[in-house]
Amino acid sequence: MRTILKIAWRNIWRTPMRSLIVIGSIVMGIWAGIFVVAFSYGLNKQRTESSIKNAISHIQIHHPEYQKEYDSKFYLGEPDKLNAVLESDKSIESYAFRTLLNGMVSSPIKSNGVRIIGVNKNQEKELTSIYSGLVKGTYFESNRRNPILIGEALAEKLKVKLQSKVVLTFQDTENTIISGAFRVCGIYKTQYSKYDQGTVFIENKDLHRLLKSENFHQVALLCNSIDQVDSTYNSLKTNLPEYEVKDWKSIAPELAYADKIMESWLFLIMIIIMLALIFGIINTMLMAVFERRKELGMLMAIGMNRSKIFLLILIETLFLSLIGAPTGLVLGALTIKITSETGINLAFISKGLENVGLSSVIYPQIESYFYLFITVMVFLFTLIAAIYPSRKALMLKPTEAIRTI
Amino acid sequence: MKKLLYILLIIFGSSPAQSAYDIIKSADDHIQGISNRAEMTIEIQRPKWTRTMEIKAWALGSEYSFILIQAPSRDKGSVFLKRDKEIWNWQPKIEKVIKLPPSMMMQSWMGSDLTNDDLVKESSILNDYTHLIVGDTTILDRVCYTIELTPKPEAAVVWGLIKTFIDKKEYLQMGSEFYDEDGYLITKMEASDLTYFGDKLLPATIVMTPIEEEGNKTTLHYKSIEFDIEIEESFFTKQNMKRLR
Amino acid sequence: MKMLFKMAWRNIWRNKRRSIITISSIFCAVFFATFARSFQIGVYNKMIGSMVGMYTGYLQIHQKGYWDEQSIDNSFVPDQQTLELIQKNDYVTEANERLESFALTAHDNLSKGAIVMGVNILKEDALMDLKPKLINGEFPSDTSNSILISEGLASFYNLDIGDSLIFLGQGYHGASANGIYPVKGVVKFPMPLLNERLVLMPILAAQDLFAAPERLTSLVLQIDKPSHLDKLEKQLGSKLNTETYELLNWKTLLPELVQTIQADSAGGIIILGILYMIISFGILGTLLMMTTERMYEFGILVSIGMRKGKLIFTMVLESLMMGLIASILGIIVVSPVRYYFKINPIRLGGKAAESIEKYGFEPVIQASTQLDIAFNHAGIVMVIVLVCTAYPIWKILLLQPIKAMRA
Repeated sequence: MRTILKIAWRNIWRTPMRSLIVIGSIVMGIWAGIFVVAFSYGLNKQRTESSIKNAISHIQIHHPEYQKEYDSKFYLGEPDKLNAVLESDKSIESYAFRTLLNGMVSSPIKSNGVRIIGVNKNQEKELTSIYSGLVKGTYFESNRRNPILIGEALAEKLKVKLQSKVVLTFQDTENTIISGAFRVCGIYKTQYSKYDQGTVFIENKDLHRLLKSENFHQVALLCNSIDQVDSTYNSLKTNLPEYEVKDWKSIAPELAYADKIMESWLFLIMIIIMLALIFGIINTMLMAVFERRKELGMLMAIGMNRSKIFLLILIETLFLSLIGAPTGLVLGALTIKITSETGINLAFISKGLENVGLSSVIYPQIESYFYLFITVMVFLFTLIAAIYPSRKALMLKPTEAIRTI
Repeated sequence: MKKLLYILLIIFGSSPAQSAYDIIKSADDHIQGISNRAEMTIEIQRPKWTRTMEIKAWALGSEYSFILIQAPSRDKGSVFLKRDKEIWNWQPKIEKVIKLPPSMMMQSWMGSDLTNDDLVKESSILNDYTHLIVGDTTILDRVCYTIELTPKPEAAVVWGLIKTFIDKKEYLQMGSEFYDEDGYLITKMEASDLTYFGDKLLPATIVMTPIEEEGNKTTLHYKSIEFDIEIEESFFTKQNMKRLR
Repeated sequence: MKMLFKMAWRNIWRNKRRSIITISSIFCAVFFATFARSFQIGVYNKMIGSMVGMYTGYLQIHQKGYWDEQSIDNSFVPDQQTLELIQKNDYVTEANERLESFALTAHDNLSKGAIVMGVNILKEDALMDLKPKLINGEFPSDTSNSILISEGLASFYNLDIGDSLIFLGQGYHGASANGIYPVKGVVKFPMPLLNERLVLMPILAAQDLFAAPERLTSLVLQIDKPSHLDKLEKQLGSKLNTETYELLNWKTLLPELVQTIQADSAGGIIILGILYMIISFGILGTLLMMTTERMYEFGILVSIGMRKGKLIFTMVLESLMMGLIASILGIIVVSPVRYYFKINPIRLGGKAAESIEKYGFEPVIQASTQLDIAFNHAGIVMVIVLVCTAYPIWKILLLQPIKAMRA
């Protein structure tokens, strides 16, 4: 046995080019497997994070009836108690109270129906990133009265700009019509021009002054990390039974299941990649066998029995895999380590991403068990791939083989 | 439209040496408690079409009014009721009285250049602006004060400035110009056809022209106006909407 | 020259086994690359089909300027010429007339803004697949003035079949629009935006409501096959009077969908790139082996006087021919496989599938059978083959005949 091992080892290094190709294929296979999985998960994670950061946050709290009818009369009762509970919860990183109303915004030229969102400036800055998506102006830093933040599409429709005056009209809980003059302090832009046209932000203090009431309709909050969401969600549900508490998974279930959906897709892709790899290895090994038929024929002629030839080829492949697998693994892990910090910028491929409000940078990431899983899989597949060429080797006729020129 | 009606019905009997505020206030004071009934046509002009409506209107001060559409036949029998800041609508086809929600308030009224909100906005002119006489103009052979109305910082009005021209003799509003904050003229109102309605001299024709939109114009033409008619606040009810003739 | 071609061809078949291995390696490349991409494209097409089918259709004709300012004043009366043009075109299976506008709806003391779509209900059923979405009641007839309302409206007003809904708004040329209409059926739309406020009204009733007799805001064209969209657009675009009409496809009508697909595509391309890397390795491997094996033969040829240039040319020719054979084979074999997965797409299951269905999408991974995918990737593979011949070329250039013959 030891002889076979020795021969196999030496055989590998006798033809470095060929061996390198096989090793290369194995390394490629593993690296590709690791990267594709990490990339896909990174993509999903980024989408989820974007959505959470820009739109839905980790948890939202409303009056139990509010989500059904969006009627402004369903405001949050006992805001102080709510505040106290949230303040004392250490797992909550930031939260913001919001007032939500429907109304009209008018300029001298035109009017438009809008969703009015009253915010507490400092709370919002910690919570969402709209303030960094401003095209012009500031996020309520102006010192003029009643500042308002409007979307670029709306500014165009109303033909207004920074510092322009607009009139907001809305109703209070008694259906009395209230209007107020506001000054455009900033203009924002998201990827949805319909949203930009229909949503305006003002400060809660101004809105409440006009409404003569201090009613809020929604609290959105972020936990310190996404892993704490479940426990925070449960504790809030227990401590605040009179409110409706929802976590991001029920607000946007398609995000929660994005991973699951992607797994089916990944599975398909991995199968295709593995098949391509196997065929590549089979072909290369087959070529290798035939290229060496003189030498193999010689070995058979001097008495090496067939099963030993079979074993020889197999062991050569094994050695190649043993070299290739860890290399691929290390390369893959290194790539992930580096890119998970620097990120991969997809902007050069697709401008669409920039508009989609996702930053176009993906941070690949992968669960540790995948490393082992993929390595073992490729290792096994390589061995299986080697069986066919090895068997072919057995069918060589020594006499014919020697005679080949 | 109420705004126009009431701006129009600026009255006299006030003493000469007045501040701009006084001039406009007298008019406002006079309007409280004045009742009138009018018949008019409104012609709406657009680049591609023109529409003419015939309307009968009743008003008590600036809080209560009825508008009844008599023509065209498609809209005949529609009634608008204003009580304070609320507008109600009756359509004979629907046979139900509907209250206009705020989202409808900024929509144009009957396709014209006026909004539903214009119908309800009043004392805005007095309270939301500071007034200043800046000079004289002559319109249609009548010498007028040129008064500038500048919106107060808190006022919920879209304009940056309004210039209004008030005839010195009879205190008739001969015209107004509405500017945005950058000084661009957005809408113009011009009055003409001074006629005696009863014993009051008033412009029978008023034209509103949005400057930015080519070929758009709304023209009001009064066929008749009667003042001091006998109507009470109890006349202006939802039930009466169906009974108006 | 002819001789070189003959030589190349014969060389291939001289050593069947070797050639078959090489050809199969290239074949695999074409097969897998096409296969993977077909799934990616298939999923996008399905997404587009669902979204487009839900509301906008693939292609719409409007009055010029309507898309920028969607008001009923920008409606049109389709002229005979245009109607004939559409009817004669083979790609168009149907043209749906629509008159769309806004109105305030009211009932009891509640009111809500709604989108009113005056349509031919049966034609819309063919496009939007209304029947399965009808959760209550039935379709109104074309001549009636009963309406279909969305589930959101029905529950907002607590309306039953037979209850009436009031409409108030503005019609054509400023005419007032008002009327009262009985509810004949309730439809559940997967898109929440539509489900909250959509009303489907027989188009004659809508034209009457908005004082717009015979007028339409859009003509929605139903196509026989989505792949015919570009051709159809070109054909109609050249004959349509562009002074009066505008022709818009779903990409203009649904820009957000385009962006979402682009964003997704970026990831897909990276994955495809990785697949190509693996494939290229395989091809390189076989070419490498082939070269090593034939060094002796090359050595002899060069020593008897064949110019290296000609040898290189012949060898490249061989590779290209094998590549061509492999590509053709690849395209032939991959087609029925793709077809199979088009008819029997991979079904997703469980909660994941549910969350997709909520938005009205079918939770499947389907393959596309578009021909251009196969040709594109066959082309890319041929290029890869060409690039991989660099190794043998290099080896031949460095060839020293004596050394080679001693191998």
